[in-house]
Amino acid sequence: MRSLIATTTSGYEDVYANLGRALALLNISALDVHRPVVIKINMCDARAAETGAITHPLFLDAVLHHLRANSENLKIYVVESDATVALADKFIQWFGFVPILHKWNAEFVNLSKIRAVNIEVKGRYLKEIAVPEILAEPHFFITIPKPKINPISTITCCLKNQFGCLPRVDKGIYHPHLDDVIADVNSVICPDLCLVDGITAQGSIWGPALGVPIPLKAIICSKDPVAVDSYCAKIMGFNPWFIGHIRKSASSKVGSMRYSLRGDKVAKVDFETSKFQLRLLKFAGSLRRRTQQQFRAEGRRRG
Amino acid sequence: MRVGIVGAGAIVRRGHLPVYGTMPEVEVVGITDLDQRLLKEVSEEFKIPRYCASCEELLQDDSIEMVDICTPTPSHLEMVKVAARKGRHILLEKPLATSLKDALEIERVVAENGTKLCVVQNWRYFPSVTATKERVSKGYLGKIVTIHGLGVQPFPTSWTLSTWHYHHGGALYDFGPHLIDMILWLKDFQPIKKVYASGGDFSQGNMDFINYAVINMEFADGSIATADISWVTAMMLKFTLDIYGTGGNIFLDVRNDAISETRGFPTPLDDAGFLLRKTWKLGTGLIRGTYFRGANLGYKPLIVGFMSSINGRGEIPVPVEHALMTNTVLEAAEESIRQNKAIYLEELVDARRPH
Repeated sequence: MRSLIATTTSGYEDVYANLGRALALLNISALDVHRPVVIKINMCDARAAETGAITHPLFLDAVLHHLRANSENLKIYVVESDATVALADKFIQWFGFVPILHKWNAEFVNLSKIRAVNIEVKGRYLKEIAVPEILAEPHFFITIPKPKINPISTITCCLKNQFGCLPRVDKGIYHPHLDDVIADVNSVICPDLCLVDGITAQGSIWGPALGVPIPLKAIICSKDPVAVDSYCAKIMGFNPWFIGHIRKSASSKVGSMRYSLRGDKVAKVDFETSKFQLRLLKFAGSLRRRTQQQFRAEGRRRG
Repeated sequence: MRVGIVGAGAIVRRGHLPVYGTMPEVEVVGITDLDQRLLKEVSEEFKIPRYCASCEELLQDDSIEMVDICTPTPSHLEMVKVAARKGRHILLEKPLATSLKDALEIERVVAENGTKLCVVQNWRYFPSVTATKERVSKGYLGKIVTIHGLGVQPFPTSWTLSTWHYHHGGALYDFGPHLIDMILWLKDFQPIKKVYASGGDFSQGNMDFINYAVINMEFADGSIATADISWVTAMMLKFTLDIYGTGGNIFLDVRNDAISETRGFPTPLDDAGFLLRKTWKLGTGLIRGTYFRGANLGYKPLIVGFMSSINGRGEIPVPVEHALMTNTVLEAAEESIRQNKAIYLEELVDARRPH
C-alpha cells in the first residue's frame, strides 16, 4: 500500500498558511487532537535556525498555532533530549523557542531529565528501550525533523529524529549500529504525524550541524515516517534502498517505502553533497577515532 | 617525578594521562574528581594507584611534587591555593581564571608560597609555530606591524555537559586564551597599551554571554594585533595567524601545521607551494598517525619543559606572568564590549589589583 505524502512550497514568512494547505492535502482539515500532544523538534547541535541544522522556531510556531486553533485546553509538550553535543535546556533558550512556547502555552520537556520506562523489544540490536515516561503514556506524537545530510546515516529526517527521543546522553555509543537502532526505536516510538521543516534544509558532507543551508522551500507532511524519509532521500539525491535505516525500518513494518505525492511540486535542489567526499569523510572519521584510541592506549600501556 | 592530578575530565583522559603514560620519568600517584564513578573508571584505565574525593586528600601524600590541575576554570583559584600552600608545583590548564581578579590572586598565592606554576599552552609546540617564532625572533620579518589572528570553533557542547563555559566571558575564555597567548608570545609579551573589542551575543539577547568578538590590541611599540574569536560560525576549528612585518609576512595555519612566508607580490605560485606543503603534511601526518593527535602532541614538550624548570634547568615554559597578561587582555575585551570603549590595560590592572 502506498502512503500519502503532502508537499507544499513555502518560506518561513507564510509557513502557517502553507502548513495548513499541506494538512488539508493529507485530509487533516485541522489538527483536532484530544490526547496530550508531544512534539519532537530537532536540535542536534548549537546551531542557529537559519543554518538548517535545527527546527526553525517559526515552523514550530505554525504547528502550535494549528494545534491551538481547535483546543485551548490541550496539553502540548515540546520535547528534545540531551546528547553528546546537545544541551537541550540551553538550546531552547538560545535559539528563540521560549517566546513561542509561552505564546501557545506549550511546555518544554527535556527527555533526558524525566523518568524513563524500560520496554522490552525484539529489536534488530536493542532488546530493551528506555522510553521517556511522556512517550510511554497515551499521546499524539508529532515529529518535526529537518532534512539533512549525515555522514553516518547518509540522511537524517523523520526516522532519525526519534533516535533523539532516547534519554541517554551518550547516544553516540549506538553509532556503529545506527541503522538497526533507528529501526528499533521507531518500532516503539512511532510518530502519528510527520511535519518536515524543509524550508531550509541542510546539505554537504558537514551535516548534520555544519553543512550548507539549502533553500529547499518545502513542507513535507505524512503519517508515515518511512515514506517521508524515502521521499526526502530522493530529494537529497540518494536511493532510499541504499540507506540502511530506511530499508530496515520498512522491513520492521514501521512504514512503507512506497508513497504517492499530493500537492506542490518540490523543485530539484542541489544538496551539494559528493558521495565520494562522504565516503572519504567516513574513512577520515574512522581513522581519527583509531588514532585517538591508539594515543590513549599508548598512555595506558605503562600505567 | 611524582604527579597528582586534579580533575578527571576529557582533557585529562584524552590528553594529559596518555602523555604521562609515555614518560618513564613520571609517576602518576593519585587523582581526584567530584565524579566518583568517572574517577574510578579513569584510575582503573590508567592504573593510577590512588583516587580520592578532594584535592586536600590527594595532597596528603607528601611525595607528590607536581599537581596537574584540569578542573573547570572557575575552580582554578581554589585548587591553586590548596596546592601552593602545600608547596607543590602546579601545571594548570588554560586559562588562569575567568576573571582578572582571580588571576591576580593566583599570581599572588604562587609568589607568596614560592611554588612554580606553568599554564598549559600546548599549541605553541606545533613545528610550524616554533618555526614562525624563530623567524620572528631572529628578525626575518623585520619589526612586526600587525598580527591578525583567527580562532573559531563551535560551542563547546561536546567537551562537557556541565555548562561552566557559559559565564559572561563565554567564547573569549574558551579558545581565546590560546589565540591571545600566541599573539602575545610572538610579540615577546611586550606591553599592551589599550584594547578595544566589538562583539557580544550574536543571538541578540537569547544568550547571556559573549559568543563572538573581534579584539583589537594596541601595543606600546605602536604595533597592532586583532583576534577574531567565535562560537557561532560553521567551523570545527580554524586557528590561523597572519603576521605582517616590515621585512616580510608569514601566514600560519596552526591546526594544519603549515606556514607560508611571502614578500613582494604574492603570486598563485606562492599559494600553490603552500597548498602543496599543507597537503604533504596532511598526508604524512595521516600515515604517521600524528594528524588527528593535533594539539595533544604539544603536551609532552610542555610538561618536559616544566619538569626541567622545576629541577632547576631552564625557564618555566608558560609562566604565570604570561597567562596573567592573556587574562588581562580577555578581561579588557569583555569590559570593552560591555562599555563600548577602549580599555587601558594599566588602569584595568590597577582597578582589579587588591590594595
